[in-house]
Amino acid sequence: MIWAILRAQFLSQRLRAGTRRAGTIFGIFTGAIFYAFWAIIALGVANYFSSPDMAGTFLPALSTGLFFAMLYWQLAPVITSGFGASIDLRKLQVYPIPHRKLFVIEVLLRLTGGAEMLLILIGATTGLILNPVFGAATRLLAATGALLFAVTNLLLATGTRSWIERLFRHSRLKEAGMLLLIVFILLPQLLLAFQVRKGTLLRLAPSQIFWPWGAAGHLMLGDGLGMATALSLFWLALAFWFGQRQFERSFHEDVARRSSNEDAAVRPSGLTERLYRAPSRFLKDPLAAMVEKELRTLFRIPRFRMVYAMSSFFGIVLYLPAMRRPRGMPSFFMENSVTLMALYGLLMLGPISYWNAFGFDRSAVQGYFSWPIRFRDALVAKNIAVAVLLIPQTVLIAIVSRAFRLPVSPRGYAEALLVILIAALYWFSMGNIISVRLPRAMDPEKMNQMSGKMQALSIWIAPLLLLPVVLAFWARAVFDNELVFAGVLLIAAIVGKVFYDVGLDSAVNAANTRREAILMELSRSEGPLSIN
Amino acid sequence: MPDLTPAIAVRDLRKVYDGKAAVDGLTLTVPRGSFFGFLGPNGAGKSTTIRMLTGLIPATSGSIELLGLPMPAQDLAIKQRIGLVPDESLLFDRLTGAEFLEFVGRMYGLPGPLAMQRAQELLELFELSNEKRKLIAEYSKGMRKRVAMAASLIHRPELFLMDEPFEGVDAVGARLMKDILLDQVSHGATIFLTSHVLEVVERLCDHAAIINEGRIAAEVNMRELRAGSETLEDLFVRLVAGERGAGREFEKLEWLG
Repeated sequence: MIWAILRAQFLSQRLRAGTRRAGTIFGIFTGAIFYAFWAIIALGVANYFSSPDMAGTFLPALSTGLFFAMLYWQLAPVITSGFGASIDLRKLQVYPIPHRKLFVIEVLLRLTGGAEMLLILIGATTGLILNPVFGAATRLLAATGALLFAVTNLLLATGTRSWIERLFRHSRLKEAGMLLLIVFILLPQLLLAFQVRKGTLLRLAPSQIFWPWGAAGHLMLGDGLGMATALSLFWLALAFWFGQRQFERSFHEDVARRSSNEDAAVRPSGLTERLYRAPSRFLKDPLAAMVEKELRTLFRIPRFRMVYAMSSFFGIVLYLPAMRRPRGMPSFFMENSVTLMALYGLLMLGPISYWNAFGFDRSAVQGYFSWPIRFRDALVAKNIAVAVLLIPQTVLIAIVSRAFRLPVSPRGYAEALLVILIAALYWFSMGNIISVRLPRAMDPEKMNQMSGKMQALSIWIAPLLLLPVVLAFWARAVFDNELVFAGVLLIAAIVGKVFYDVGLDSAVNAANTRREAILMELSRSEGPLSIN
Repeated sequence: MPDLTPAIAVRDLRKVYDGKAAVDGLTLTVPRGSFFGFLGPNGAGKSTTIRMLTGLIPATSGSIELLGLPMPAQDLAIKQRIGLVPDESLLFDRLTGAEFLEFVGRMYGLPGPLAMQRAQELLELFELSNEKRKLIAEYSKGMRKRVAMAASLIHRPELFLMDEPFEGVDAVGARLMKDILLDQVSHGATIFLTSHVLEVVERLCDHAAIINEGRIAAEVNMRELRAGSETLEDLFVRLVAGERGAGREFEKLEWLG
């Protein structure tokens, strides 16, 4: 049965690969670089844990390492909104497949959301096994502990994914749940920001055996064996219960849903309606109508709302190292916190908006080719809509920054807004080209499906595009002169406008020649698995 | 003075995919004010033809004139005057029916208030006003088709290009849609539609063409057909299934018996 599902998936993906060979090769290339990077780190980890001289430091190092591995494994998919591959229950629930088997597949698919951490774990385990200090029993325990830890993570990730996906499929009130998750994720930063006592922090240290990573670390080193084993099994059982329960709930909800969806009816209020119609005050149709349509559409997509909220809050995660700096010592990261967080926010919005501008339109994209409008206007409208959304996003980021005691002044806020609007020119330009060259249909109700290629582009190309903006900050640092900064930023803005226009022309030309391929790609449905 | 150019004039139209012709030298003339049925088996090239007519995909060779204007040279002027109900959904799922209709009206250049007013009237006409706050994502297939047809009407087009407009629509909805289309024809509009339901074409259309393997297999004057002994289905099966050898092939599968 598993093979039948995988074969159906392969056959579904075959045509996609055939029609976009260049994109596929690019994806494989960037994927290879990405995993090579993690493989090198894993080798370093293996080298460290195979060193007999370092054995005294293994427990805190391993526990802390496992803590970060678990944090990454569980949170990276949430933060990047890329949950890896998953079962599309809507396609499989009609067949008489036992839930248990689907659950096992789903758990195994979670490997796609954190394969890099598996590499690190393998590195650590290999190092311990090769270390001559340890005997055969410890080597066996190292492998067992690592296996238990990996399975715990897979089960937990299965539950988290199911829970979050369900959460954002429904009413907006449940987004409060997401806020709780954010607070949980930000807990370490909160503890640091509010200067909790050292003693308290030590009692919560990662090497404490009661944590799942602590228990795994103790077990892998054969330290406190009985307690470590019991706690590791406890965490495993808890993760199994959570994962299976959330998966089952998603399964039953998918079966029963759609009869009365609480999100189905729009409750127009005077204020939101006025906000949606605001573009008509400044723009003419058809541009105004398209911007209005974009704003309505984006804010009705749970997945967009979640990423938008995360992009406003998660930037603070980047500030853990900066916030540990002694007070009174200015740093580049502290001084430009709002700007950097706003850039991170804009980058996060990319894959679900300007990097794949027609993803949510799906087959309706043909309207832009069928109605008596210029395709150029459709792209510009989509860019304007995202630019409009950047303003409240930057305000939110500034508020979050204040809450975390980061320095934010009105001038800093204005500078951040200006910088991200200039950065947006570069990213929108490239995004427009990618939107017509690598279009991909997106399901508004799913949290996964962010293309690996999109992520690769975000990681590799997006920062490079910002070189002119970076130059402005470099000039300010070197010359210590605000006028120089403003001058270079102005040049970056002018170059950005030219870059945007050239990108727009290129995208429009590509759309005209590729309209058939675009429509085919956006009308395509996925196989039984949703691939990230 | 009435315009005597045909609503649709297609000459030697070809569309080739990977060396295989989906549409192979299609020549067709659709007179103005006619209700034209475009029939064919699955994969015959109907949707490809409609997509070329709307400018959605380019033709490999051949020429297209709609309402006397060449496509794609004057595509914006043509698009302004046609109404489209495509096979793939042209609906934005996260808008309500009213919002979508208003949006489409504005795409065709209607002033906002007029587009809004027509959107409300069309929703009532298509019996969707009770659902006007519901997102299109929640609409049934029939409701989606009704909204799509309402959208094709909002700017009073002269030519309608419709791909399976009645598919998934219940009998009441289909009757309403047929009445509206007949009324449009009586007011001078031209309808070009594809349908798998031959009875619909037989009853509504005054002209039809049967396409098979990318070529026109027959052009039919429905008045003459009705006067004869052969039904449209007989003609269709003779022209299409005769070549494909349809029969009681299922009887060979013993396990199915």
